Amino acid sequence: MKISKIVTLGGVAGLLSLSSQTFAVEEVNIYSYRQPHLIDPMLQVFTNETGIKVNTVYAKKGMVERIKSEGEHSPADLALTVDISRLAALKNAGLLQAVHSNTLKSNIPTNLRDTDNEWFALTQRSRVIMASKRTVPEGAITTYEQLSDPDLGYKICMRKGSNAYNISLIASMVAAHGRDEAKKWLAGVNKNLGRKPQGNDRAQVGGVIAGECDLAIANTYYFGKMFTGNGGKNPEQIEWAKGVNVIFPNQEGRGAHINISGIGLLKHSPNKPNAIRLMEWLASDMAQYMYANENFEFPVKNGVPSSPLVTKYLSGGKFKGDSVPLATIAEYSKIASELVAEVGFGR
Amino acid sequence: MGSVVSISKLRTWLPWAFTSWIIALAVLFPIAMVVLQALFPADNIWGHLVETTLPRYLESSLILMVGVGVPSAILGVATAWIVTRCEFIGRRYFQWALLLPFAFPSYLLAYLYTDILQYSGPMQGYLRELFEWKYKSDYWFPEIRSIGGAMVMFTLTLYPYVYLLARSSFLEQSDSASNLSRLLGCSAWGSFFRVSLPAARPAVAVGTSLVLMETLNDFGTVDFFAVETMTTGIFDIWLNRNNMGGAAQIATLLMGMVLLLIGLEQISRRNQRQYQEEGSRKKIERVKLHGWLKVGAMSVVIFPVLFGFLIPFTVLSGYAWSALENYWDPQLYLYAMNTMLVATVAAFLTMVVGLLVSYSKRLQSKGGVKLAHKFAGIGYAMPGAVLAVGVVILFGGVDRFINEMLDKWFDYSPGLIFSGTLFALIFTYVVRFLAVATGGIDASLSKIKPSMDYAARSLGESSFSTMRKIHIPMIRGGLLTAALIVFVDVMKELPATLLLRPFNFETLATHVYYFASDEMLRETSIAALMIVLAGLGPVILLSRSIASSRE
Amino acid sequence: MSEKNILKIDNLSFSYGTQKVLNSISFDLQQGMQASLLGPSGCGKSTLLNVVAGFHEVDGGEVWIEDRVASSALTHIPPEQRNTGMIFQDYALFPHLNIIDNVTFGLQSMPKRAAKTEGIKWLNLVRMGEFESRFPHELSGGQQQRVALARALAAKPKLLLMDEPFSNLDADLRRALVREVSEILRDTNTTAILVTHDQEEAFIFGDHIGLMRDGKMEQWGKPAEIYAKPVNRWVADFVGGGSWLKGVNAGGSVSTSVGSFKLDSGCEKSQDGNDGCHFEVLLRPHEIDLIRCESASQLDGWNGGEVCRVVHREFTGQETRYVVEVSGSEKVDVTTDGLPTFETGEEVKLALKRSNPIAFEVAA
Repeated sequence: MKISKIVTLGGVAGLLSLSSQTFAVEEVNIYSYRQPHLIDPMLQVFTNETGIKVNTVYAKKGMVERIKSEGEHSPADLALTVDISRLAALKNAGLLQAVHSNTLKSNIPTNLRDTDNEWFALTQRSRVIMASKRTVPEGAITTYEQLSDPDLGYKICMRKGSNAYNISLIASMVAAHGRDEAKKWLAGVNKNLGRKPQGNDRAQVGGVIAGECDLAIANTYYFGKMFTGNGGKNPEQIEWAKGVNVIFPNQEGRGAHINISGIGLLKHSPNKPNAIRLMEWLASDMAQYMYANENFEFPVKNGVPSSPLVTKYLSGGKFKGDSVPLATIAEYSKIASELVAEVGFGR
Repeated sequence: MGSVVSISKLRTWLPWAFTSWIIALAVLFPIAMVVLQALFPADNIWGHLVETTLPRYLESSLILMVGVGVPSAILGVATAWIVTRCEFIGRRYFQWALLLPFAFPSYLLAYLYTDILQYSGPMQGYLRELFEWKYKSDYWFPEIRSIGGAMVMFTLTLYPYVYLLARSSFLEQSDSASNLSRLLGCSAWGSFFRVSLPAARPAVAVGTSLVLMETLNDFGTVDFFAVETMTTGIFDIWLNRNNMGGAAQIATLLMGMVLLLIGLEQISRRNQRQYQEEGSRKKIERVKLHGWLKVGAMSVVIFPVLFGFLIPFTVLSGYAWSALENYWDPQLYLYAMNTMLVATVAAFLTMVVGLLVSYSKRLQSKGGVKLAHKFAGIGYAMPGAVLAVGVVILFGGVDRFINEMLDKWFDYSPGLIFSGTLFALIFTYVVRFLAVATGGIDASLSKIKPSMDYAARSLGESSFSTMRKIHIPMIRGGLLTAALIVFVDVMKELPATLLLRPFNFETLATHVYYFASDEMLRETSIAALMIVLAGLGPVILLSRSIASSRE
Repeated sequence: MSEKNILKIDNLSFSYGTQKVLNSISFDLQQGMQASLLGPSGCGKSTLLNVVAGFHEVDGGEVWIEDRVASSALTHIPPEQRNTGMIFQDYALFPHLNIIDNVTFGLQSMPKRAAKTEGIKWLNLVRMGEFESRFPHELSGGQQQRVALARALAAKPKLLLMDEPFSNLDADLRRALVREVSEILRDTNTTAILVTHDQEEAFIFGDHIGLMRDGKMEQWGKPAEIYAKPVNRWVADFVGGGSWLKGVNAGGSVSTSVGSFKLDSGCEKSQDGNDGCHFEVLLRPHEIDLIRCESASQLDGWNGGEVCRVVHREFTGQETRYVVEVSGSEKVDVTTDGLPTFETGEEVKLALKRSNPIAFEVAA
């Protein structure tokens, strides 16, 4: 037993030494809702420029609990999210702190940052309708509201109702029409679904191309991803992008739904200066350019041009966006989740 | 007299009772954290849940249980019976090949079959070309992403639990019982239903309850197939509605269901406690099959191997081969090493802890050791992610407490000690899979007659050194099996790993999940193949160890 | 009585949960003595052995081994510190160790080489020397039990406890082995207790015999004493057995259907003196001879019984067993040596070899 005891003790000691205590000095730690393959290239540039190492934990689940329970000793500096409601949740849980940075203030418009400066949007994207060029004539669909029409005549492909992007879209319907109308709308959309909600946004366009549906609901940047064959990894998707028209809905009314990806400085950030430096860098021309050109998102910083592709196919981001405050969307996201459950969306 | 505390009597049971309870409490604490959340939620939505979504979650979970439990039990028993009692070409290969689907995590099988069978996949594409169909409305094809599809995925990956246990039960059954019944006029089938199956019932019950537990706790597959079960409900309420309390309430209900399942399984076995003859060393006489019977029996064993392993494995290997060029990532080495590290350490620790719990129970009934043993296995009833949240809350609290105390007395604050470390991750694995280990170890220990313990003790060995010198060597096979199963389970584990791992720590499973859940299965096929291959070794080893017992 | 007590059991009781398994047991055993515990299965004899070995804790009473209390309501010395050896029905050889490693298992405190020499010595004593490097499963049952004996004795126990060690062996081997083991134990002056349900085994082995039933010690004594002076009808039946006849006391002797006998004891249950009380009289099958009616009168000491009839006869190859009907209702078993000499249906008379048979007074 002696040997196994030693092995056990050694193992435990080894594990402890692998813990969060043993990081290099110049670093910044991110808890990310965003998938690493989307942000790693940018963070690599940041590290090359500044020498600050960036550590990330990617998780969709339990982030808030983890930050909460780690409390004041949490090693995490920044939370990176892909929608407003999670930023709002972090703020409401008192896990963020205000950042007073002139760079951030001047680079990010007021409506895209928190009134208390606790979170900042880094990019914008719109949730739009992508319609089959083959079956849907141009101009046939112009609003989100049409999607619930019992006589629509088109099938809709859409990812799961509980997905953050959809929740945000539904929240915008609640903001525009109230809870009851939004519920009716969602139930109507549910009836027009061409198949069970599944897959990511690109898979919805794939469904349209395959003929399962006529309309897909997707975020704008996915169009860019498909159009470039996902950097050569999915060449078949080029055809997908070419097979659909991108419709920015409600241009005659309140505008297309807009969401953000954003960042917040955690309350107990141990590497605060480095963290703020990364935040500022992400709002800089360089990073914003990368967001625009590699991820096809709409930059938040004024003066950073959209990518040529976005300019050509996504009206350069110069469409009419819904002006409802992001905080309102965040506030209604809880109702939106309830509606998804009540309607039994996707069943 | 009995109320007087006697030191010399305490000494005989206290160390073992103490050990068992320490382990039981380590398991209970994180679970208690979740239950506390359920009882005292910040924002109570229980009423709303009961009115809206909960019945739906329950319904699909129950349908899924029936739709997985019944076919798994039938498939497991049928295949086990055929390979132990019938003789046909390739039987020896099939008896371990039938375990191969174990190597596939259910979610991976789901990703693969979706890729093959979905509308835009090769299968339907081929059919459309063949019959010149144009659109979806032109023909009917089963929807893989459905509750039915989930049933098939789970059955294909989980039936080996039943097969494994039923087979060893059939192997252990003395020939004489079934031969006798055949002399008494039962046909081969009659003797199966009247003698062999009832005798194997405990094994089948255990196997099926394992299948059901895995089904209830799965997240990856049902999430991908958009089936609204209790687990997807937990995540929906927790993550999309930011309501930890509601999620904990459903998790507690789910745990209750699993415990009920365990209870039922034990009741069903209560009247069945029978000592088998000590593994008769005679060779089993097998029936040679001919004609249609042979074709039928062979199809039954080929079916699960083909669809549960060969087809998905071939497809995955194909993807991996073509992915080598574009998506080979040297980081994969690191991920594989990480996976091996956590799985090996967790498997070893789970085995050691499991041995202590099982041996305590064998040794002592005083001090509630039996109850502690039951509690120690309860982690298996919790979905990995929920357990992980319990661990997060627990270690967060412990870390805060340590810091406060040290700060108060020594003016020193060491920061996080357990939270966000591999220790926390491995702790969770041990808690989660302890029941898997104790189950196997209990069974192995029960085969050692008490006279072995007595003999060693009377020759001057303490209870601890008896375990070391007699039990451990005698159940080496059982210990290895337990460790191997835990190893494979840990390697496949996803939700807890996602939540608890330290910075920059990726395993093969997390890597696969990022990509595959985003419909980029081909990109991640190399890592996925590595998971399957790594799981394959233990599975084959496992299979051969039981095979050799009576071949 | 110069020898010291190795084992002393005083008013011992033990329960499994609420079920009382051992009830007020007392006896003691001196150095070098061998005792047999005999009784039907479930009588608690194996449990008693396990209590002595320290595998169970007692509720009350005391177990002394040499001069210290090993078990009491307050004390419990763990089995490994009791210096008792044990032998089991299933041999309990450790399957992962070879024979010599099994035998030296209890000799861990010795240097390895010395332990081996010692182990071989014991293996030779049980005539298993040549098997030292075999593994248990390669040996027959009898061989395994010899090794188990060597293993237990090598550790030099103060007390050897044997739990039905021979019951898995076939009859011939069993008899031979009992004799052999008994001799080895005597040669080595080992104090031992044998638990068995086999009467013959118990009698061959034990200097003392304890008869157990339902957790109680019915009788503790020397073999001859148990046979000749059983304390109650159950003991008499269990040891030797025989046929019970009804009898009535009249004028200092008991008259039965086969004649009347003088008894050692008088009437105790009856209130009116020695007359008229009822007895049950035991006739052991071997203590009776059958004689032809015509030669009955020539026999000395026979005070004349009634004519009986052979109703059943069987020949075992060694002896002949008869069932004889006495005065139409009572039946008597008789065993004679050798070939049958009487036919079924033949009229005979009974000749008793013992003048004062075992008898117990019963209520009228």
